[in-house]
Amino acid sequence: MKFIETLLDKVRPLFEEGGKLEKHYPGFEAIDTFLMTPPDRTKGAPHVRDPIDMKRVMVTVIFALLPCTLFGMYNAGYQALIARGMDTDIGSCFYWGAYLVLPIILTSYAVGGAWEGLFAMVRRHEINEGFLVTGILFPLTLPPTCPLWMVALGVTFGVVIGKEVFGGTGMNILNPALTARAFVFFAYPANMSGDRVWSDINKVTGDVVDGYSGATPLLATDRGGAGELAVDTLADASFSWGNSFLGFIPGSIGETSTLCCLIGAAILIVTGIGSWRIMAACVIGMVGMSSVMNLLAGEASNAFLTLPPWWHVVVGGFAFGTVFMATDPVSAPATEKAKWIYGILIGILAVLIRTINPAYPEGVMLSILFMNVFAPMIDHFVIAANIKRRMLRYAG
Amino acid sequence: MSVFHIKRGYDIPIGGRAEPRIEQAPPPTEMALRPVDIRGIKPRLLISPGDTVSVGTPLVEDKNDPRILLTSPAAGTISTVNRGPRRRLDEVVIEIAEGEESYVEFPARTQEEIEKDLEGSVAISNLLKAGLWPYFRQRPFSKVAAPDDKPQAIFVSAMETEPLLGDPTIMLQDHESEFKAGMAVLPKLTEGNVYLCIAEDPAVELTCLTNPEHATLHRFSGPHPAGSVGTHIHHIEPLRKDQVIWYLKAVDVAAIGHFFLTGRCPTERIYAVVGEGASERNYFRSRNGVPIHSLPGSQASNESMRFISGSILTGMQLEGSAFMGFYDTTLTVLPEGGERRFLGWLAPGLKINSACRTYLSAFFQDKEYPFDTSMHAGHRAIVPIGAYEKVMALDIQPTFLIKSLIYGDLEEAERLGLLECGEEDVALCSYVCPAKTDFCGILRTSLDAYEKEG
Repeated sequence: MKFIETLLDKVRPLFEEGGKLEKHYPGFEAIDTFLMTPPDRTKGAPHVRDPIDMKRVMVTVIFALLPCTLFGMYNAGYQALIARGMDTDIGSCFYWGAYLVLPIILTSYAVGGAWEGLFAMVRRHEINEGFLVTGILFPLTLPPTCPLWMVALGVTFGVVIGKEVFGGTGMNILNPALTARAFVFFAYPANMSGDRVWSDINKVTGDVVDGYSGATPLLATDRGGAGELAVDTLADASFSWGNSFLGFIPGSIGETSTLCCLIGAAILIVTGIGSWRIMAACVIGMVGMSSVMNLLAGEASNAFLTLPPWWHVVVGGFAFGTVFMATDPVSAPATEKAKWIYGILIGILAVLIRTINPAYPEGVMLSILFMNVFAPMIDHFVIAANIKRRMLRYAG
Repeated sequence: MSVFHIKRGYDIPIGGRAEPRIEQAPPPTEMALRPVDIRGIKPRLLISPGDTVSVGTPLVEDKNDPRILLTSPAAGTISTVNRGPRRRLDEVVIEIAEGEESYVEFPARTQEEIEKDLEGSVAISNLLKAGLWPYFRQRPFSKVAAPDDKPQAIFVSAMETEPLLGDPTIMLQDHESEFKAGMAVLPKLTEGNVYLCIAEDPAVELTCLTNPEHATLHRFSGPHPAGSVGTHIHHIEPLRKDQVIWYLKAVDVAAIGHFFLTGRCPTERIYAVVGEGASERNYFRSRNGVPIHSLPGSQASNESMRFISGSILTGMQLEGSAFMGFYDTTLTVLPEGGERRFLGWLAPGLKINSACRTYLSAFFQDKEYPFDTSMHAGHRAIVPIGAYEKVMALDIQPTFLIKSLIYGDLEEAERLGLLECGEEDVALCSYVCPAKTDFCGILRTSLDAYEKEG
């Protein structure tokens, strides 16, 4: 790889101070360090540094997202082919799914990356690798039929308003990918919810095969009548727990397979990149709150109240949000105790919105964004307790 | 006695420990006193090149407190005075005279006399005159202690957990009586407690350590920083507001004991030579302030090496021709890095190891890996993935401390525990940081700024 090094060294002066392309240094730095690790040596203590870097951190997250992405592609094709009543062999599913999903991912990376680069140039800092994750997280929260211009607009909002206005990577309050998702959700509800957006059906005629509803399990539960058991409602809509766990259900691209989310969670926890505390806390909050709801459910209450915890995990974006969104280190609290509180409240709020709020069948996105806002406050109290504890020791 | 099990921390899996045997190093022809190592004094030179000195002749005094002296580690002639940027006094080099060495004589005492008759004020004035005072350092600020202070407590640590550092119990094994004498002096200097901290399973069991007569014993176990004095202070008796704590190393206690027993400044020092780059990894019996190249094992192979007086986490980079640091007992020879790896972020990583288990090597236990001086990445914004918290042994919040230091709010930083920290307490945070934040450097600048502002 000597020739790459030589080539990079040859053009480097152009981008350094006083060079012709000085303004484009962040772009050069990004490509340079993408190809080869930097030659810098430590100056003073500590004389050795951990070989970890932000690229490795972010790439690990992307690896963790790969099962969800690949399965999401497959499932997007699978749902489309079912709706059209066509053969669902694995090749066709992947082909159709890739045709739907790849443009969305590429648009997100291209547009978001351009904003990231632009801000790096104007503000004169390095291009931060965090965008590599935002750029894939956002598409995975979208329905596979999302128009590309909407993807572009969404990722723009997420990167600019969600992150850069706060000062860029590391400074943002809200998770940029979820900010983007919330923006398109509220701006273009017709393309983001309902039962016609989750699978690629013939847009001109709107035809689907007989018996195909296209509704997500959450929507189906939401439509359940008063006094009905959610489990029965789901069975009537022919959703089985197993299929929902594996992910063969309509939904946003990356969210449907709980199994793939679990694989991702395992990668994040083993490598130490994702916080197991937050994930565990989300599940605890969800199980607790949904159990309470189950107990409260009376004869006249809506079906959602009776949805048991093990169903809450496998439907909608709970697993995906818990593993990949709630654990975003920048928008989550940084202290360990605060992570528990934050996660538990996310779980509670998500169930609360799902079961009580009639407007939105899904509550995970909103609960995470809501808790993002409160994360600094929870941290504040944990730190205040830490300071108080130490002051008492100093006094004694 | 109590045992503290430190859970948060990290042992860098670096190879190159010293064999636990002590060999005699060849006698050096020149030695140096390094005022530059001693934080907290403003050195003023008392001699000039060409002067003849004995062991213990004052060479440098502190401009702020002229009672604090630095004395000659050898008898001979002053050959050069090396200055750094802005005429900073770096080294006073002494060419060693041939034949019997002359000493500045102080009163010698028996162990019993030290225990019964020696008064604290006399001990301090003798230590100051003999140039041994700078071995007493204080928290906060990790600088030389002020002789008039009444410390809240004195901490002696006889353990090291910093990577590869020489084991104090090996260095002390022939100096038990001197260590005992030194320990007998310490209770006279404080109204508070004297604590001795040792490892739960030391390399050598020494009765002077396991049964101290003049100190309270505590044992520590666990990964680094279980052996750092900041950890010991934090867990045993944290620094109170407006107080100081004095601390010193066990080998320096033995040096002080030697001084009171013999009435002469100690000259012997045992150094460990460690690191992948060292040709021989042993303990060597040598003297205070010897040139690096006089230590066998420092003659490195052809590759470019970095010589570090101290550890890879907190030591000081030296030229090959330089002299060992004032406080250090270990010379680390570390290969220089800087080799660029193609698509390093994608490498499976069987030969590199990270505290974050993101390389495959993490799944093969108990191996040592080659480390060098590579940064491995450029500087980035801090993304708090919880790496600091895993290696922070003190009950402070490192992410918020570093942020308060970066935005320069010293009051906030003080509340977050700034004054409890020294570089060695946060060195691992610098090490593990994926954004390559210079935690140690920022901490030092902030401590200096805090001290200046009072």
